[in-house]
Amino acid sequence: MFIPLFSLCITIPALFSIVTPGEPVSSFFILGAKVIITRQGLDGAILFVTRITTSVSFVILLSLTTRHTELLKVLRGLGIPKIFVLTVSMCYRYLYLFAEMVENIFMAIKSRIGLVVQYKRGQQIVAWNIVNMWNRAYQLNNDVYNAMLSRGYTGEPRLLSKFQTGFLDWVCLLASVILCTTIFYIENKL
Amino acid sequence: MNEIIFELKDVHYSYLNRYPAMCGIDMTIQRGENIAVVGANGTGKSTLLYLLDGLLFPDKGKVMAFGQELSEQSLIDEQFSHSFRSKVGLVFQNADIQLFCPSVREDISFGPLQLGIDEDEIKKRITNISGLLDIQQLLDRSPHQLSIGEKRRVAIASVLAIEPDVLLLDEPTAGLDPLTVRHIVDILLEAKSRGKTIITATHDLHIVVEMADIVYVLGRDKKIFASGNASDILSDEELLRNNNLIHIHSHKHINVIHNHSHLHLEHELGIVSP
Repeated sequence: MFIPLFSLCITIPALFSIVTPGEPVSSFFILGAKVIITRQGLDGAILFVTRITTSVSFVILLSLTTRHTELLKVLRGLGIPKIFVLTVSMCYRYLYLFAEMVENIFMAIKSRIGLVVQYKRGQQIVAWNIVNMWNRAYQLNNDVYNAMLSRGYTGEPRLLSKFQTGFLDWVCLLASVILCTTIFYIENKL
Repeated sequence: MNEIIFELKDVHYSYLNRYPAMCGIDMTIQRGENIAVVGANGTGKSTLLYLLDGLLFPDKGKVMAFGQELSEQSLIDEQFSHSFRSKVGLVFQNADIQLFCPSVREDISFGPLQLGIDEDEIKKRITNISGLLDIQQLLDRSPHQLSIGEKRRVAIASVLAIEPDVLLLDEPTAGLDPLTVRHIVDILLEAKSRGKTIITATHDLHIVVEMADIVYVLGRDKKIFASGNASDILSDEELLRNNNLIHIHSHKHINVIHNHSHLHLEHELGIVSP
């Protein structure tokens, strides 16, 4: 949701005639100056925001319907550097651990001070937790690196199981190509 | 059998140059020996394992491994580093540290892959080890979805996949239920029967009885308090009590209250106490 909203904000200047000259749709005054919204600007902004929303929706759909291990394999298949893929996979792995830690910390706080916390006290608790999590993350970073060294890691990771395409993958790819070609054809004809 | 694989000479180590963790440790470990390092919390058991695994280096003194000094410099040497990492495997106390890959299969294969072992051979090892540890059904799961016992078994599998000669185990049974403890002990006994050198840091004296031939007791002064045969050390109640390894336990049988040292080691050592 954040990305489409952010894209909406950054397209606001493109609506106006100063940035995108063209056919006026609407106008109003700000501090005595006339501001005009143009059709070309409006079309451009709508196209930009809808494209971003569609892309984000597809990324979310993909991440919700595909196992993250498969996504990581595909990243490797696409030639993304191994160290980047390893870092992303470790981030994903430890997000859960930290989420669990934060949940436990808040349960512990709740068990000691109850549900109602004074605003200022609440701020202090959150600040201390941020510091605490930072320290733990730093410690974990060292420990995980040691665990990697202990198993022979020397700076250049080697990873198992290259991505292999199956019959269904080829069917999906073919269907996508046909769909895209049809859309391009219809768009150009129109 | 008499080949010395680790030798520690007057080893000192402190964290942040402020908090001492080892103060003059001397130790000799021979191939095939099964050693337990016991001691209360904070006596430096984990630090000792990290020093033996070349993850920490002493402030003073020397750690020799396979006849060569373990230092940052020696481990930069690719040949020595590869040979050392192939021979020594460490199972960390916190399995979450050790399992950093997106799936169990990748975690088990991580070590052998880094050591340049052929992928087909790795797949064979994964099949064998997952059968041995009964984790076949976990191979495609993410480590964060596993229970503590499952994580511990996978952590052990990830080290056994390297097929090291020396196994360093940091509290392998801490926080596990009795059945999982039994399973892990059986796996380690099997490794012991295959001639592996096993060094276990623990305060679970029940597994020491079964697994170790030699016991080192680390004291609060960060030195070796005592060492010797497992049966001698474990039958010395005063020594164990002074090092927080057992405590006097009092309980009631109908109307009679009696005291004895907790852990009931007498039964396992075959000693009948009055």
